[in-house]
Amino acid sequence: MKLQTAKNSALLLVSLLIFCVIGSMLTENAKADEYGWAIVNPNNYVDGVDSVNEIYYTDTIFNYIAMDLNSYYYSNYQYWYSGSEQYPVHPSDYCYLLETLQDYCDKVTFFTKGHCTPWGYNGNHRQLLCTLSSGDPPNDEQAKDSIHIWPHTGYFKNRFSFIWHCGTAEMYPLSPPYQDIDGPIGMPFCFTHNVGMDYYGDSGDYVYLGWIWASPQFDCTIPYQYQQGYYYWFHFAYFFFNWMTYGDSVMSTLQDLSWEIYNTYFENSPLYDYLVVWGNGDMTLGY
Amino acid sequence: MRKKTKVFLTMTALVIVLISLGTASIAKSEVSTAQQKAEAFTENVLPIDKSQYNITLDGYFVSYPPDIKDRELNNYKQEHYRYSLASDESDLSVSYTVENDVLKRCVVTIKRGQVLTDRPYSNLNDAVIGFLERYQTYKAADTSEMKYMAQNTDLLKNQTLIAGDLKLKISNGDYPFSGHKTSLMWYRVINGCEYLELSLSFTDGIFTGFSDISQLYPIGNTSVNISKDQAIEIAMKYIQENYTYEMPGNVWVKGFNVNQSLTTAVLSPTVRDSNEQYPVWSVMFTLDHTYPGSVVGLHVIISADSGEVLLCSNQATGGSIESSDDTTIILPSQSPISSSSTAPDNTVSSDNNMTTTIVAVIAIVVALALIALFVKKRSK
Repeated sequence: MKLQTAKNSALLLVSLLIFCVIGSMLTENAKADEYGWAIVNPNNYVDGVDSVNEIYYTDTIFNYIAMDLNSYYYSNYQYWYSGSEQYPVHPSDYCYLLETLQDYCDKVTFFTKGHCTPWGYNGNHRQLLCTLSSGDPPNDEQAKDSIHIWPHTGYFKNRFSFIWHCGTAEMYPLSPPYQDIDGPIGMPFCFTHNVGMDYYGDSGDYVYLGWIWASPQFDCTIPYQYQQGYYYWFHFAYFFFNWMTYGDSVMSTLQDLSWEIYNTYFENSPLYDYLVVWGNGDMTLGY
Repeated sequence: MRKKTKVFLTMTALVIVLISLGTASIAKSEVSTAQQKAEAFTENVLPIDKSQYNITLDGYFVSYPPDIKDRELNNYKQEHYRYSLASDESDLSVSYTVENDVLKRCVVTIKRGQVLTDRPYSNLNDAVIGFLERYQTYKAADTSEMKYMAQNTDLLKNQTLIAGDLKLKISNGDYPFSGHKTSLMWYRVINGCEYLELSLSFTDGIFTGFSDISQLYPIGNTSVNISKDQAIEIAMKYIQENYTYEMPGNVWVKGFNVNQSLTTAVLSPTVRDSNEQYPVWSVMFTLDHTYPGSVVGLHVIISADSGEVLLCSNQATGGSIESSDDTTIILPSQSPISSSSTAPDNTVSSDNNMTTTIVAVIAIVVALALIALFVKKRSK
């Protein structure tokens, strides 16, 4: 009888242990699944858009960023698309990534780097250039804000977006109707579905980073830096994500980078009004 | 049996105590020189009332540059410390960056409330001079010239002041979410080149940042033997005769023409390939049109001492947005032949699920084995 009781107690204890271990793992997974991320660099091999060095350094830095985001989020939904002639990035890839992430994750971090041009009514809209490959008609390979982004971000999951393409911080509609005959206007609105983001704000659940005017290519020295010719733009992208993985907010990281590069605070550097933060600059990667 | 158990338990307890003591002693001795520098700054320079704040280290990391060919950063290794300072009145975050055991900057972020300063400051001048006095003691360096310049100046006015070979640039700005910010940057001007001595920032009259690289990168050779015009001439010759870059398809782009009226040349320091600052001419050319690779400009760095071209980097952009034409992408005028490409990289590393599953299976197997062992022993 005593032996049987001891056995039962032991079995109960061990079962509890097993349930605890598995339970904690499942909880951990559920937590990890809250976040999903994707980084996309379409690259362009034809029509003289990207140099060989630009493609090489972009691929290399994206590798680092992918590793940082992987180790930070430990998510089951993580995607890194790097375009090439054989495997070009198409607008449908943007649609697929955004759709998948919003379907399976609660919070989405999205980073893309490449080119961008205006399109649509009065040039109000923006389109991200995908991988132009020699067999494709040159003008069918752009991810358009209202056509390829907007319909796949409707669950409001894109909380952290950094769109490193030309002019992607522009055309944020600040008053109704927020759209024209070509649909919802601009990348900030189409990625976030949020029209209440402040210019370098400090509240809310969304943060969106983009460039006013021309975004810099990675393999270029950063102009006006104190130590001439020392830092390249790929350093900026690398340190931005790397430092953020240690818990700094967007604005803290930009402040730190500004001090590092220009020896002054962000608002006094050439970056202010150029690299624009819409929304909550106090957000970290663990928003 | 009981005696053996007692001895075993006693030994185990002793080992645990010893390990704990050992860990504590290691932890204590592991406060690095870098951290000591940061904490000494908090203690002796940061103009806040430390007695009112609960100060905790809540972040530390070492930053290394990416390992990337032909673009290495020499001797780069930075330690970053982030402290949170909490009080009933306000919360602050103070981050320090230490490079080669030299404190190079401190950035204060006011997260909430009014900062409790170490003493009342009558105005911005008072706050600046107070900081310089404490920093002088901390760094054991003379800041009297800087204090003199800041003493009787309207620091809320954008201006540049010169006293001997020291230059002070003052900038102010109002920002909706970060308040009124003031920047003070002191430069030592040698042979026309401005070497930063100290950079300070204040937000609504409160100290919020400093940068000092003069100890980390001391001023080295300051010779300037090349004039601005000579520098532009050398740079122009270089981009027209030597500089080239590769496009896909083994196409090399060369022979650049510039818009001369937009050319700029600035004498400025650098530490490229050196541990000391030295003067270079930074020549920026705007090209006459967009070249392949979306290149719109060229940046040439020339040694101000020897005239040697140290670097030429193209300045390229992520596409042109000048056109409002909805069907045309503005592409460079020269289109090299389309080419081969690199290996596909559409891979996604997502083995987290697998790892979790393996660990779970191992845990279950170990638990079942323990049950079996226990039951078997008891049955005997």
